[in-house]
Amino acid sequence: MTAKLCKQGVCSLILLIALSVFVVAPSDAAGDKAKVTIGLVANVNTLDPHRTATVGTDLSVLSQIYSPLVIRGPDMKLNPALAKSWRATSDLVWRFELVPGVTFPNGEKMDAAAVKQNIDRLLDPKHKTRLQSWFKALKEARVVDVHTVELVTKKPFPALAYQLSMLFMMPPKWTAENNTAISAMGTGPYDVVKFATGDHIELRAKDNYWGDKPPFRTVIYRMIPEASTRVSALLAGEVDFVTGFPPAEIKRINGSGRAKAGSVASTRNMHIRFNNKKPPFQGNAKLRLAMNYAIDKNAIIKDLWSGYGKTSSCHPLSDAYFGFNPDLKPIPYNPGKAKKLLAEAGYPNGLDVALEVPLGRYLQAADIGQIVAAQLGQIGVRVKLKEQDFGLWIKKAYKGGQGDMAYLGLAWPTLDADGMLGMWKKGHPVSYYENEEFTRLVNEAGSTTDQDKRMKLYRQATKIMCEDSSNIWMFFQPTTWARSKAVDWMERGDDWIRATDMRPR
Amino acid sequence: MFRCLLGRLGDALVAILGLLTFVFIAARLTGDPALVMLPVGSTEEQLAEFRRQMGLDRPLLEQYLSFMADAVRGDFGESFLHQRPAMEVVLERLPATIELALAALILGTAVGLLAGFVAAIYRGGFLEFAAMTIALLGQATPVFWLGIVLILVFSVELGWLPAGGRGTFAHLILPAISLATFTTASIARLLRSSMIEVLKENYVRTAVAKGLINRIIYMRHAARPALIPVITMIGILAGELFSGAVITETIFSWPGVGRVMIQAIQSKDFTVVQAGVTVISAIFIGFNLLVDLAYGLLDPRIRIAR
Repeated sequence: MTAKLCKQGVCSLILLIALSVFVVAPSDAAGDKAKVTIGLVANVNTLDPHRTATVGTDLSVLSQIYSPLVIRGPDMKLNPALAKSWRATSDLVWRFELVPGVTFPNGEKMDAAAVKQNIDRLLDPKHKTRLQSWFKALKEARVVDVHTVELVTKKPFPALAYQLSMLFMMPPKWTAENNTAISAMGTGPYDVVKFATGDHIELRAKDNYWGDKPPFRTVIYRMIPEASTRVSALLAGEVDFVTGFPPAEIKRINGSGRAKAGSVASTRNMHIRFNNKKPPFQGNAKLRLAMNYAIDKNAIIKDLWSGYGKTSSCHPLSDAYFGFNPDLKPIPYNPGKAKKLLAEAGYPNGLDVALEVPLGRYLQAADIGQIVAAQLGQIGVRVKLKEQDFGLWIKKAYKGGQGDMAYLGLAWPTLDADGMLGMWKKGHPVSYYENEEFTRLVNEAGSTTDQDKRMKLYRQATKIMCEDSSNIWMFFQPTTWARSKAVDWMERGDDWIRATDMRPR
Repeated sequence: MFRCLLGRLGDALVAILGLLTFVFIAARLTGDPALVMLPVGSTEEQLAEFRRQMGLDRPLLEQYLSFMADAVRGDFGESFLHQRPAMEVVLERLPATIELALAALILGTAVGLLAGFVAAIYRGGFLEFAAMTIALLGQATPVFWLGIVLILVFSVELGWLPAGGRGTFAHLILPAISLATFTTASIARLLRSSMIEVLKENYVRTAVAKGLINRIIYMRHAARPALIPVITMIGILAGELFSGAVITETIFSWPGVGRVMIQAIQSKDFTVVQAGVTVISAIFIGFNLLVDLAYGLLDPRIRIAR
């Protein structure tokens, strides 16, 4: 019987599978200094840098292929890229001096005319560029001379230079003739060798790159959506760098002796939004402050995130943002004071509130929702938890239908208070704050390019937020990272993952 | 036979159109792509512009009619996320899904048939106990857990096989084993019980009385009728496997249809969801059709009844 089955090929199949287990897997990432392999948290969906706004994947990869006019370094400062210098010549006009002699691989010149054509493409609705919505204040580009271009805005756009660090220059002629979603041609340090959609993208360093020599000959970005697989791939020596895994993994990775892991506070402010448009929170600052005192943020960071992450002071900006207010501090945990304030606010016997927790976006949101509910319960606030898919929740929230409270995380890619605080202005769909004076100050700061004046106005605005306890200020979510022993990485708290921020060891 | 086939194809088309209508409506009930794809801080003006660009500002009925009219011509629209034809996005992932599904199906069927067969003919013995215990474990083990354990053992600790991705034969082994486990177990258990039933039949007893050797009884008289329910099961499992295994593809970073679909659902990329559902339902219906045809080959009575 067994012999018969073997003759029929079953045995050979089993043998083949058994033998194949001993095939040694290609484990060529670690140790090869000419190459770095990076594990991304999600797919790279398109290679058109104007038609994606996803920094952590699409734009990170594209930043290695294309160049922007200005670039933000790991220290969060703006550095020259294709523009060697820039300045605002008036509230509505910015002048950029370009690096001369830069060409695209196909020979097209990267000059002022190319910048103008890129801006035209960006603003033309026909091209459905995703970044368009961030450049609504931009009116046009004007060619001054071959290496000088002026960008004209409809209203003062103080964060323009920061916003431009996300806009990559494409060769106009090539762009018009090719499928930019699956092919790329830029002035960046690397060229695309292979784009295996959903699997990996391989880049090779340009031999004649106009900027600093790229640190690796070959860069491979692998798309590994599952966090545990990313960590395993790192420990197995298949990739050199990963991010976005639960903080509890840091200890395991460091303990393995095979890689080094750590965390950097991100620029995403996690907070609980009160619905200030209706009772009980409308017009009751004491109640809002009581809720702030009731939450032990440090305990959550310590127990849930193994101590990684950073408590937020009583406004949404971290020190990475322009407009950060160093005078404001986190509200400490003080349940006794919280109970007292609750009584003073008119709720000596506590109250019933709903806490909405959108799922699928933020680190361990469901766990945090439960801890917050339990901690509020200790001062007599009875919380009804409502967990919901993010897509469904945001649809409701944008239509003014948010419940009493909601757990939310916000960041603004330019790291400028203008965009970040703009989300609390009266009339913004997800604001739920409704403070006239705050809104006036943020609007005024956004209408000038005088940085000192803007800073002063933002400090006043954030002070109002703090005194008002506009939200329960929680923390900045940690960005976890791990690297193999073969590379070094310059830590950064925004989402950019660039091979050019890494060095072979 | 030809008329029967035509009839089945007609049914399949109606099923796909019905499914597409359902998916069209269901997708739009789950959220607004503009709110999911644009950053949370986007203004109403920015959201409206996105909806206009994607044609989502038109009345629902108009969107539905133009979608259906385009779909029958094979045009499923442009993916919001990938910025190219939605069907292209789905179809380019199909080879990966077929590769994995085929490997899992061959492995699962071969091992499952062997285990089921052995368990049935060595009933009451150690071999049956061992085969059925393994089958039970295989059916009860969650795929995500098994996948993670396989990676930890064979990739991290032993360093024999890659932890994920697609490319070489080595990349295929762990996801195929992970995906085949449930298939193996289902087939083994079903074949065993089916064989045991058949071995009780009178004609088998007659064959034994005639003095036929066991090998002929098992292979020629018992195995063929016992395989009929197993073929149905394999057909259903194949339909599922070839539709994309979301969990296995995610854990092993396998670039298949399942992963592209889950991403499309999460991002409310309606066009890809719609194109994907069409492809998946066509595959599923195709396998059911093959199963029906295979019955006739195995059992002449079914062929005549038609």
